[in-house]
Amino acid sequence: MIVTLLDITIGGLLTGGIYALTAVGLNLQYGVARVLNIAHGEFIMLGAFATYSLYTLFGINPLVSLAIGGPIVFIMGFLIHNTLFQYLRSSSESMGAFEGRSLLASFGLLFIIQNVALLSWGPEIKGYTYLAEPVNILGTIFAANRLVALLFAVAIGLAFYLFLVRTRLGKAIRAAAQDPETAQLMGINIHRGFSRLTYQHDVRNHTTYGSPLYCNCPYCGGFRGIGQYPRQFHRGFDPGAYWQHSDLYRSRVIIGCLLHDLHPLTLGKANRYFREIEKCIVSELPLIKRLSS
Amino acid sequence: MLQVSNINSFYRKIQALWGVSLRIDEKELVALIGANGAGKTTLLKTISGLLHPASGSVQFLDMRIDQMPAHSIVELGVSHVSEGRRLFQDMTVRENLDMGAYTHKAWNKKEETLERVHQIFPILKVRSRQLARTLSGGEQQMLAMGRGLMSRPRLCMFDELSYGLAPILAKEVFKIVKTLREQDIAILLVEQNVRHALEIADRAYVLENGRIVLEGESRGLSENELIKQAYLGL
Repeated sequence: MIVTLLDITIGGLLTGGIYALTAVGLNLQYGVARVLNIAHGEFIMLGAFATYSLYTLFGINPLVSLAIGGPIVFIMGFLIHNTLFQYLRSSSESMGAFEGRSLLASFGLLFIIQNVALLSWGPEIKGYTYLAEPVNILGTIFAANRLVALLFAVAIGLAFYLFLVRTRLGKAIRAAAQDPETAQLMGINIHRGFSRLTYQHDVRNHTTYGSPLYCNCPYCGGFRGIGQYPRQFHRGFDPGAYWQHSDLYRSRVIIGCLLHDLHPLTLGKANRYFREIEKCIVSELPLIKRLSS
Repeated sequence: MLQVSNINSFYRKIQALWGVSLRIDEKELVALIGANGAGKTTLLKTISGLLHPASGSVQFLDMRIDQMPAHSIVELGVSHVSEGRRLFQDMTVRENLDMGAYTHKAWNKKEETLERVHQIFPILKVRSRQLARTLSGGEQQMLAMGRGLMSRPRLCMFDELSYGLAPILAKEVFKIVKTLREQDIAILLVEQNVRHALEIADRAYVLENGRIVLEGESRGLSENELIKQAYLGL
């Protein structure tokens, strides 16, 4: 019994880590860059596929490919933001219009990335074996790669936290997310470097985090991105608040755990779409609770 | 120091300012009074660069600033404390003050300025680690003012400082504004509390329907029949 509970708890934490990091990134993107990026999860998928190919074709260690992938995707984020989103911003008459357009554009981005991945890697779920050695934690067995993934999530999360709370730029990003107009009155230039920087950081973090995942298919990014939205809206998209009142961060981990724990119940019996619905329900329960209170 | 010449400004699609001109000299305390919707906030936003005038010019220290972005105007030494305080609610008092000193010039002297701001508003030192949203209304207003001073401005614009404050707190706030002038900061004070504003200001402008209808020494204005009737209820 205790072993099962541990299995569920630690397994849930591992999954929760991914969701937590995704949520923070999404928050940052909307909060500062005002880009409602539906294609958010697609970058996780890309990261995982890139790592997969580098490993199976060239034998490059997945941990090493993180170091290669990070800067590449940082540049990619820069290009996407500078071309697509910057153009939309300058051609939109108001911030509200820009948000709507960026949402539609990122929908397009989602389909493009998904289909490019589909053409390049095919529709099957891909996997590779790396660091699959069993690790015994208090009598429960976990694959080492999942623990590495969790470690990465914690390390990236912590680094980001320190960046947001301690540095001048980090604080300014939080300020701009909370009140863009007042941030300008403080001397913060929210129109240029800022939104781009957060977008790049976020995209890179996601790809970095996606990399150590060991199983992948072109559709796996979809829900991870989209499922976050309703809750983000509710909270008001401030990355700083996320950390300072870490209740949401915790609840994100808890939801991750729940998702993980419900999975065995539906896995095998139901198809992919049913599982998506299940995720939606679990993920939105806290939101419904909060709204009703 | 500041010269606003004949500006026409739009708020969304409605013209809010019609040929407005205004001047503030060094170390001067100027009040801008007028009813709700007269265009007072639009004028401040036009000076601080949040809005750009359709025509006319704004000059600060002999530099034309009307087409400059807001963040560059702060660097030049213009600070704008918005109506409704507009604090970063989920940041601490200290972090809010830090953000006030975001410009490079102010950041280098942050600790020194902070000490000065703490002297003016001792409560901000006590509340330093509290989130801005947990402060009382009066404390929030003091934080907004303190944050505005952190950029070491030459000109500070205050929008409706007394709004929503108990009379005794409003009096306190006006007293502080008066002391700021002694620190070589020019002040543009936007107020609905006309009596208080005229008491502490050197000169005042009256804005009605987007146009300056009266201007002059405060003392003279408080004797003006129109002011007495429309704003002082005498």
